Parts: sequence; C-alpha cells; structure tokens
Amino acid sequence: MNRKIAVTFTALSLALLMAGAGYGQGRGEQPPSYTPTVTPWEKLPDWSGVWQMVGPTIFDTATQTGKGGSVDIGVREHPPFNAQWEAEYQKSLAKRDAARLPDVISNCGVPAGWPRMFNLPDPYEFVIRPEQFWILTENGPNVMRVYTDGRKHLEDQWETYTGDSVGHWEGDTLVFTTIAAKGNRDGDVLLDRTGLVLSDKAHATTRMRKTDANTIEVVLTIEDPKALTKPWVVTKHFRKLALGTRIYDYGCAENNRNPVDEKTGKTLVLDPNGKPLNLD
Amino acid sequence: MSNKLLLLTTIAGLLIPVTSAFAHHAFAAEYDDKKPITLMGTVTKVEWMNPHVFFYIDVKDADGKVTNWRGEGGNLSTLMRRGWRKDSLKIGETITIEGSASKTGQPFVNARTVTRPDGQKLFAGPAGGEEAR
Repeated sequence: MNRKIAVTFTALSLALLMAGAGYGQGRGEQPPSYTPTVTPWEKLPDWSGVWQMVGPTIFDTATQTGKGGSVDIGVREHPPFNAQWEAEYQKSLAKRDAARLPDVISNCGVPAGWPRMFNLPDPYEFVIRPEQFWILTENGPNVMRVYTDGRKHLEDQWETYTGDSVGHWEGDTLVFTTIAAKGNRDGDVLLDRTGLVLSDKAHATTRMRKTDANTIEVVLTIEDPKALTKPWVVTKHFRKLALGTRIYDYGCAENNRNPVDEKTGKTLVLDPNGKPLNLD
Repeated sequence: MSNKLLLLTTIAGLLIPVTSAFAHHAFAAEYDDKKPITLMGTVTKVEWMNPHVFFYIDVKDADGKVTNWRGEGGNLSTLMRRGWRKDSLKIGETITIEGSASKTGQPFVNARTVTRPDGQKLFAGPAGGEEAR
C-alpha cells in the first residue's frame, strides 16, 4: 500500500472510531446509572397477535352520554377539568359541532401523542420483551416504548409527544408511569376529535393486563395539576383479531399536501374550501 | 404576458385544485353524515393511494347531464383487510356508492359501501369520523 494512502486510511479510521466513541459518550449520553433488572421470557405473558381498540375513537366513553362523539353532535359529561380547562373544552366542543376543530394528526405529519396512543383506529401490536414493552400502531404509524428494565424516569426529560414511560411487571399485569408528555401545549395533541386535551404536566399510571384470551384491558389513572381537579380514570379495551391478520404499511403522510404557514411554521389543517382551521 | 409566464401561471392554476383535493381532512370537516347519498355511475378512474383510496364515477342525471363524482374510501390497509384489492374496481363497470355527501356541494362522496354489478358489496369504510383514519 502506498504510504500516503496508508496514512490517510489510518487517520480516517481513527477519526471514525473517535467519532463513534464521541457519539456514545461525549455528547451527553451517560452510561446507565442503574443495574438492569429484567423479567425473563418465561415469566412474561403472551400478548402476541394483532389487536383492535373496542368501540369508536372516543377517548373516554364513560364521560359521554347519548349518541355522538367525534362526528355527531353528542351530549357529553366531562372529565374532571377545572374551570379554566372546562371553558377551553367548551370552545373545542363548539368548534367540533361546527366541524371547525382542527385535528393535526389528520395531516399525518406528527405523532398521535400520549395518551391518544390508546385511542386510535386500525390495528395494534403489543410487543413484550424482557427489557422493554412496545406499542406499535398501524395508524400513524406510531411507536411508544415503555422501559421495564429497572431504569428510572429521566430527570431532565423534555416534553415529547409520547413522553417518558418506565414500568414493571406485577405477575401478568404491566404497570407503568408516563411523564413528560407535551399534551396540547403546542396545539397538536388531542385525545379525540371532541377536542379533549391535557396539559404538559399530565402524567399517569397505567395498568395493562389480559382479562381473557382475546381481551386486553388498559386502565389509565391520569393526573394533571394544570387541567384536572382529581385523577381521571379511563379504561380502554382491545380485542384480538383473527389469527393471521396482517398489519400493513400505512404511508399516511404520502400525498398529503397541507401547506405550511410561512409566519408560524405550522402545518395547516384545511377545511374543504382550503381555508386553515388552526390559525385561530 | 410572455408564453413562459403564461405556462407557469397555467401550471400554478392546475396545481391549486390538486392541493385542495388531496389534503387530508377529518371526515367532519369535509363530509356531512346528515347528507346520505346514493349514486350509480360508471367507474372512470381509481387512485389506489395513500392516505385514502379515491375513485371516480360518471353519473348521469335525469336530464342526461353527466357529472364526474369523486368517491373517497378508507385507508388501503383497512381496505385490504376487508377484501379490497387495487384492481377490485374496473374502469367502465357500473357501481353504486352509498355514503355521505360533501358539505360544500361539490361532487364528492365519502363512500361507506360500493356495490358492484354482480351485487358484491365492498365496504369502503369512512375516511374519517368515528373510525377516523
């Protein structure tokens, strides 16, 4: 090998190695400060298969009376919002009734967010591993991770669409807490199409278990010091679909051409006449 | 106006309705579930595309006037699970669409079911709404 080429090759290799090391340790990634504890495969339940949320995409059917919901004008009792958030919710309901409520996930460009992850149409997969639990949704698609390896919540987690979730197994029940979800702070995470929203201070304890061979129950106890006056308990159910059901690729964002507002940078949700709904 | 400018203006004009037509809306923003509609017509085009399938039919009214209606169905993966395939609808065949009409009065329909000439029903599914996609 020519000496000049050899020197260059060595220098490049070293640079790549240093870059690799730096990526792992020099840019804020810290080695784990905990001793991982994982549940062995043989003690984990079998939630394999493909699942579908039971009922329409109403986040909490227990708070609703009468026919209606995301499309029809329905009568609805309310989550335990405080006066300020109740007033905002009333505005959302009025917009919903006039079909003027922007729902940003219809752009397909942002995640559904938490806890709407539990309120989506189309099939789900619940993937159990010793160290993590994954929720995969065809709609979106979306992914939510729950660490079950003994780690704690990040102390400096910024608020994100799905937040930060850690949990553990109590027998066949998965128990996890979720924090640091951004809620509707930026106006783009609804819980359903009635305009239910939570704040960026919402957090929850979730208990998931299989209640029979074909049903998974999810019980969320949501607290939100900004928006709620007391814990809000919401139960969702998922039923197992027929053996062999496939989840397909859903390129929801393909062919979406909703424009971006030059002043705010927001992706606009348009009404049928092409006028933006989310510039109010 | 120069020929080049005219050409650009024409292209821009053509793009505007495309943008509007393909933007992804919630059902409630575009269709009215209080306006049920049934249409029979001849398939002129099928767009097996994300995020929703679109198909077009020529519908003749009582006066013989033909209008090309746009039908919108659900997402492709849901249609696949319901038995649809990308070639399920054939150009030139006569189908019946049942669904909800557009709020704006444009010839758009959100299709719930499509019935083929042999009576086979394809469930298009709402492109939004209660089972929003």
